[in-house]
Amino acid sequence: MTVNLEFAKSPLGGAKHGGLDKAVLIQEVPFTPGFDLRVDPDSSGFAAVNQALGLNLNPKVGTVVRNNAACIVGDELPAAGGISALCLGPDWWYLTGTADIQELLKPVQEAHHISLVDVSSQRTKIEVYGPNAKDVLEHYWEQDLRDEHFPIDACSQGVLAKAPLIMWHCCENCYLLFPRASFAKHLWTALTDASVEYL
Amino acid sequence: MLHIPCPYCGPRDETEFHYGSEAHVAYPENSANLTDEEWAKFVFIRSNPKGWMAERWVHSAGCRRWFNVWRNTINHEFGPSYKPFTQQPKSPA
Ligand SMILES: [Zn+2]
Repeated sequence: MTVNLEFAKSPLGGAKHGGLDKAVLIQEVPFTPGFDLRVDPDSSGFAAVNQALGLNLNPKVGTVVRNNAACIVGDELPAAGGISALCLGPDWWYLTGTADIQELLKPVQEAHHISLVDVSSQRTKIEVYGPNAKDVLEHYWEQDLRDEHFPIDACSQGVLAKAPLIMWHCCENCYLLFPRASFAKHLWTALTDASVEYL
Repeated sequence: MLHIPCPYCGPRDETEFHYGSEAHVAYPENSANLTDEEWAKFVFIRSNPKGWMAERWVHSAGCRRWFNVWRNTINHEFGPSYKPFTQQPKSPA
């Protein structure tokens, strides 16, 4: 998907807090494409989606399958053509990445009973990275973040400081948050406040 | 805080859920012919047992799915949860 950056505004303006060499780095990664995919895992459309995306979607809620680097630690952009699929419900995936997902799934949409909705502007992406990233999130998150319960490439929806979001443990000491755009400022205040004792 | 077992996501805090009252209340077959009294009974009257009860919850902050679960109305203990239109597990009592 191409974004017209001339007029685009991200909820946090690409804000950054802390640093790569600090206990924690919190940064917005603006204009991340996102798609809600609905497909019945027992249908013919499911196989067609897998083939079109080149992935094996896992219908177990809370799992992530992907073919790319997911996070932007520092300013390094992930490889082009990458897709990550976060299973949010038994027939529901959140697709994100640098690939042209809409184009890839267009033929599947025409031939099968699936739904793909561009929800890019619904959410923004906040990356929380560093040795104390987990501690910052634990100030508010009610679910268990210990690695044995929330390993790398686990994802979960829940409520962080009362803001509903998707959380994804994408690699070591790195968590990606996908809050609603309208909650982003509130969440940013909460996260930077929680990080004060580590910076 | 209640700890509610979502059949899709596992146990989560009560704040992620909304309540849907008693499960397995069938919609009346010929709703057009019901008397006001019968209609009111379907809409408002529930069994309200003391003890184990099968009820509906929706995981609104998570997978957003409706499901059924056994709960003990005396001490809020939760029993097994199960997906709609599947075999109901036996009451834990
Ligand atoms: Zn759930």
